[in-house]
Amino acid sequence: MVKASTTENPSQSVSPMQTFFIHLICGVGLAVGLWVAHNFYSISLISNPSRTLRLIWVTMCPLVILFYSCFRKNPEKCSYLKAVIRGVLALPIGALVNALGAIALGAPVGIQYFVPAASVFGSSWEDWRRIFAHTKPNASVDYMICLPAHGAVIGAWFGAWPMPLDWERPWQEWPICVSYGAMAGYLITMVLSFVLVLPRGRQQHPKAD
Amino acid sequence: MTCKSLTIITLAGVIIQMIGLSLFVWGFFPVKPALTGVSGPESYRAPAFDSDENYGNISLPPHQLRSLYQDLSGIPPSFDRLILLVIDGLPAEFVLGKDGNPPRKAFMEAMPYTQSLLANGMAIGYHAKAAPPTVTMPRLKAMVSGAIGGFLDVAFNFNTQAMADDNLLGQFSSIGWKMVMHGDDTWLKLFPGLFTRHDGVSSFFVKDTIQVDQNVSRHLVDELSRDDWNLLILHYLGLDHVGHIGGRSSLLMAPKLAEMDEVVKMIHTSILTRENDQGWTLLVVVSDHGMTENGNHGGSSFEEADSLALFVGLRGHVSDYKSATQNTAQQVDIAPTLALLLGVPIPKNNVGVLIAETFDQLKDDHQLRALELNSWQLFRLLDAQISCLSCANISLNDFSDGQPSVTTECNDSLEKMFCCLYMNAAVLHSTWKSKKVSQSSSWEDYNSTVIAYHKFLKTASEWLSSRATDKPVDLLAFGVTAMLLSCLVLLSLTLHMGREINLIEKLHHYHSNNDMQMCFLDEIFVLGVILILVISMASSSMVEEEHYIWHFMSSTLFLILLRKTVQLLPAQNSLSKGTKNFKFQMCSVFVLLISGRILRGCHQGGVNWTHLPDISKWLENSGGVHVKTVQLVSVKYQENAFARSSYGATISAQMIYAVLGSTTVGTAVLSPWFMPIQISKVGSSRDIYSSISVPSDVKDKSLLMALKDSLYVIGWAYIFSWCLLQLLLQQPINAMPILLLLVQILTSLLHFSYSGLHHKEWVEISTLYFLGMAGHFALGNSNSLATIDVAGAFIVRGALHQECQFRTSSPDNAGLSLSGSADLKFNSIDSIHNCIAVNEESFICLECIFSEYIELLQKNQELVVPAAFHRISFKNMAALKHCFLLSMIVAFSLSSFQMSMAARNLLQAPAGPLPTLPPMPKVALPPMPSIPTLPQATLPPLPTLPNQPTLPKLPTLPPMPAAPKVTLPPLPSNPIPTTIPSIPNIPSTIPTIPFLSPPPST
Repeated sequence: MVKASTTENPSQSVSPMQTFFIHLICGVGLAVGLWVAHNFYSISLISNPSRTLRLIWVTMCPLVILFYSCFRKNPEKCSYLKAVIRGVLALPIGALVNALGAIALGAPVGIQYFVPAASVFGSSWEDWRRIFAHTKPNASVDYMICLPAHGAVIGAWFGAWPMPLDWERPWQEWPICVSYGAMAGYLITMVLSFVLVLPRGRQQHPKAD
Repeated sequence: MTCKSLTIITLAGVIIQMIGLSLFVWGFFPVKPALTGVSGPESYRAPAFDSDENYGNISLPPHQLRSLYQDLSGIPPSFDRLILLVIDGLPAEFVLGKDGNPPRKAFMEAMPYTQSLLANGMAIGYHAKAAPPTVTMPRLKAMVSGAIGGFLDVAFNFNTQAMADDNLLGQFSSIGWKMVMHGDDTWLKLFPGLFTRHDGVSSFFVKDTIQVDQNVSRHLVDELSRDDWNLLILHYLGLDHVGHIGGRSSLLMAPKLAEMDEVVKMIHTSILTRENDQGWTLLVVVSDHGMTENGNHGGSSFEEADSLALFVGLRGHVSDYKSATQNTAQQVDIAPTLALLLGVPIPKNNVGVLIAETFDQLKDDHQLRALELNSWQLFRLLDAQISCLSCANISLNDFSDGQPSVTTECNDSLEKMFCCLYMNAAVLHSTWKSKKVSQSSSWEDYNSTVIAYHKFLKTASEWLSSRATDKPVDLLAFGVTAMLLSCLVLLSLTLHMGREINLIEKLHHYHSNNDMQMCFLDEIFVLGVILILVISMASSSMVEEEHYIWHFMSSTLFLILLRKTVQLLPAQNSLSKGTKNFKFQMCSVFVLLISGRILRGCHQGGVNWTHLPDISKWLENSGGVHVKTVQLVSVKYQENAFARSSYGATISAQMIYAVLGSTTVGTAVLSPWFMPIQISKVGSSRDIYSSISVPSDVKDKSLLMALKDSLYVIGWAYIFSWCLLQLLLQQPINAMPILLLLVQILTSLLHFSYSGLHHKEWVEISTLYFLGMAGHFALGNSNSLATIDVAGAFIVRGALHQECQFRTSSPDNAGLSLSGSADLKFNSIDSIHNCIAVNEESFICLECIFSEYIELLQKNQELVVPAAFHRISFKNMAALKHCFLLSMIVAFSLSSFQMSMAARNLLQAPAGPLPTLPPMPKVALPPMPSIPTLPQATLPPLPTLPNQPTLPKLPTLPPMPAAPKVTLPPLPSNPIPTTIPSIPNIPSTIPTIPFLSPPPST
């Protein structure tokens, strides 16, 4: 099955519009999470980081799982429900990986990393390896997943740098600047992936026609 | 490029680098020439007459010398006794306030007596600016000699040597003063044998804030009631310790200040009662340096340099409270002031200026005389420093006739300016004197003389002290240029070699393009780390918290390695072969990550987050039992072998290392000779065909490989013995980090050797370097002077092992008595000090000290060259400890890789990187069983043998045709035994086939 999925062409080609839509929704979801936290609970990342992060997480997760599950690989074998379940299952695993990274580096790594990939790829080891180890995205779905995930990680990595400085600002505490870094990296690479998907979409459309 | 020129250029680059580095160090830590000798009676003569008449009578008996000084100086000594109360680390701000504001209210209330003295004008206090480095020993030296030492004095702070330069205490002893010292034993090391009574306490036990001071105070009542001393030095360390523990605003600070106030009160009341009947006593309260907000010191910030000088008991009263607290002075000013007040010559190298207000009690002519004496001394020093400073051309007569212009503008060249200022003052003084005789002296004349003297003194002092700390810029520039040059040379060499290797690879299609792309990330990262480090050195807090950077970098690198390992996972079709290897690599990376994480948790270093819990603190709190178990787990053999006897322990350690060392050297020397023999045995049997299939340099390579093998063994031995040495020298708590470090090194090496050629060598070496740096910080070191583990030298002493552990573990079992100097324990401490002095084990700390320097310098912002470059070049020096490790590792990893490369070249096949020689016999063996069948087939056509190409070389052939019939009858009886001896010759043709076969097989 694994082999088959890699050899056959991505059955679901994603148009740039879809990409844009999904990225927009994710970005808006992030913003909504922050906004809700700020206005309804009157907390921000600085004053109450864990609650705010949890809130963002709650808003983001369903969005991400539901939308990315639409782009699952070989949909004929794998129903939408199954993809959603896979995404939900990936949450604890992602959290575990997250925790490992956090323990090793002292810096957490964004949650956006894991879940969409799980929804799309399932248990295909080859795909995982291709995306995360080799960084060789082929299809536009790959771009959509690969770039933001790496962006979040790299953003978090750079976000950790101001921590030891002695500016004595409140945002220098542990999860705050790292989360900001991860979010910034995520957003930037979302835009980047959209830009990269555009020409591909143009190429694919004539083919489809 | 030939090998020879390559070697020469590399060597030249390295040598230039070393020269540049040493030039730079030489320029950066200038050792200033000091005047030798001691000021004697000649210091009461004007410097012009110096050369003519030399008083050769320094050998006078003390009391005669004292009266001679009195006669010559013309100033009646104001005091006959001096109490020097040194409060270590007390910022003047605590007593005098800052910028016109009174000190903090809690501190005011803590020192009621001192504040009342200041308010009543009984005392006069100064913000005495201390010169960097603000560490105890150089500051003490500055106070007693008035000289500003070089920066290198920090290094001697731990290995204090007797002070040879001219100083106040030496002057006092020459006029027969009896001296008593209680407090910091630095004084004892500086002035051995000078004190009639002393009780030294050690400053190393920073956590003790009570006992150190009690051990000084307990002598106080007795000493104050005695009358047999002239100089009493009391050095209280407690306040500094309070600062080191809790910073300026520590809860312990106010009680400590109150305690000091009590001491001042006690001394002052005793002075007052004594004053009535015999003599005058001066109490001088000084501090050697201040402290930062965190309680550290060493740099040159205002907080650190703001030391106190408080004169209590001067007879002139200062009415104004503000003037009594607002004054500023230099710390070196204390020396000439005390010398003049107590009637001894000013020390020769003094650059200080007397503190004018302390002489208010004297008559006018005495005050001028004091100024004159100080001017003479400074003029002599100037004379010595500026070679062509001769005031002969400006003769005194030029001025003496007419009205010497006070307003003479003295802004010529340096020498002329000093001369002019000095002459000005001297002439004014002489006119004032002559006028005084004629009773026509005016207040105005006096004033202008004083001003002229002060002008000269101030200029001279400033110039001299700036000269003491300035750096020869040309030397620095030269050093930096040399280092840059060598960098360029080595870089171009690297580039050149890289290009050549690229060419070769292109020729051989060694790597597919795919591989090249994959290997990128870690290399980019390693290069990026260098950049990041350089940038981060610009930020002081990044320097303070450097350990975070290193831990972060090393674990990131491990994660990248993990990613790469996944990348290199063989594709699924060849899965069967590579999985085991892959699993091992994954495991090794995880081991690296885990042990790195534990190492990171071992010590919370740095400045801002030291209070956070970490493993070492947990171990300390949980007491010795846990420490011991951890030690046992960490292959701690010091417990068993060395815990018993103190001296025997060192001997046995030395013996073990001697044995280890000699065997290692023996192996190094002998193994190249032994191993080639084995190889040449194999090689000789292959002689015949080696010319056909194997390149002719096999033998050279085998020699080289033998050498590498032995290096390999030596490397291992080295690592292990190094770790054992560290175990012996480090604190018991550090046993576990050392084990983890060892594990890390081993795993990373194994990881690299398993992953074959996928990593570049320099990536591996830098990985090991990262490991080393992270480990350096994990052992509790940091870039702060306070974390140098001076106690490390004690640990070897088995007898002291327990005592050293008390320090880290339990404060209840009478541990405190050790840190002070309760008599019984003091002896043991003293003996350790002596032992250390003998064995110089504290030298181990020296490299750490050097690394601390760099930090100090950077804090001071005294850097002319870009901090980054300086940092890079010094970082290597700083981590001497790891340099050993690194050099070994470099050799080690290079050898293993060269070995695999050689193997690859030999086989011309991308198979396993194992040595090529072992497989050869194995390949040759399989044909053996097939040979017994041959004789039966060959026996009939024996005469045909000469046709075979190999046979002509056989010496046994001639007899063969001679007796073919004779040999035939026995053959049926035992055909196999007789033929077997001949087999070794025959198979020589066959092995050529297996040798060619491996490429197709793989």
